[in-house]
Amino acid sequence: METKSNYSDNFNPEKDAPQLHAIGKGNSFKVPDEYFDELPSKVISRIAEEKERKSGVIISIFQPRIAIAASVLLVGLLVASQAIFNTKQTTVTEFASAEEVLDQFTEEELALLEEDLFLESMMTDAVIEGDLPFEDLNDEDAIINYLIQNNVDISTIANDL
Amino acid sequence: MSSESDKELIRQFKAQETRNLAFSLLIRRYQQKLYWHIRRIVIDHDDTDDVLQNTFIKVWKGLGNFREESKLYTWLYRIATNEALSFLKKKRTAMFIPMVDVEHKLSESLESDVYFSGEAIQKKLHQAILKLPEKQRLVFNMKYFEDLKYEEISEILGTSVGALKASYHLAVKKIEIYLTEN
Repeated sequence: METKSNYSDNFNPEKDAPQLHAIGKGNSFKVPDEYFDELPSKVISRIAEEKERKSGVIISIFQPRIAIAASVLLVGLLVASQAIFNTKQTTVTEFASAEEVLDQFTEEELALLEEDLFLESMMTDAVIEGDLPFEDLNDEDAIINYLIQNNVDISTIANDL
Repeated sequence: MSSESDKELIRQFKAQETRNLAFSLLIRRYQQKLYWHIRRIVIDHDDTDDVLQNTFIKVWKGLGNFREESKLYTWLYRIATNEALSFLKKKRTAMFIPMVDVEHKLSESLESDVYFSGEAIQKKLHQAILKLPEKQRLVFNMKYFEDLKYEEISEILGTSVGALKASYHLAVKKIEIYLTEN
């Protein structure tokens, strides 16, 4: 019986495989012309393509992250700018000086405004206190009479306002 | 190819400035041997071209980490063999056909292959080889056509020398029977 070690050591192609021996070892396959001349550059360019694709993949992996980060940043900036704008508005409203407010009105407007404010505040105070001597709050004559009777100088009050 | 010149090639590849040149040299040095090795497994030229290019791309990716525990060309043959067998496996899956029928298809493709110039008897030989089990086919091709030593085939396929000799012997017997009967 043959053992593994002498299988091919004793192999004689002419005797053991005459048909195979007759065919020989000639190569019956062909390749297109210049195939082997072109192959190295084909392989090198494929490697370059793979590298490019890889870097493209890395960029595309990060693109959504960049987009999300940019969106978050944008929203943050909008919120921050809105907050700053609102704070500024509040500051102007709350801390504008009397002169700045008065500058917004003409002399005539201020004159009317002063009288109106005076009469209004008088009436409001009177209403709060609940001791008005007249029934109709829009009756200017009645109000003026009341002030005269109580020795109140209207022009002095107007100047003090 | 001397292992000394392979070592020099690897050294050049590992140096960034000479990498591309060294790799071009490597392709030119081994492209024909690897091409014929793959061609005998997958038969068709276009398929061989794909597999060979993929083989070299894998070599490019892996050569930097090659530790030179084995010879360069046995390492290249191992990659090429694995790529070729993976290709056949994918082809079988894609075509929903059993393994035995892949060989049948390959045998049929020989008939219409414009890049096959052999006579009828040579075609018959390749058909006989395609009827062998995968391992026997690989061993037969590497021993008979490529004249590799059993020790080298053993390193490529990871099979003992004794088992390879048995495979080769059986393969030759089967081929002889096929050629006689057909």
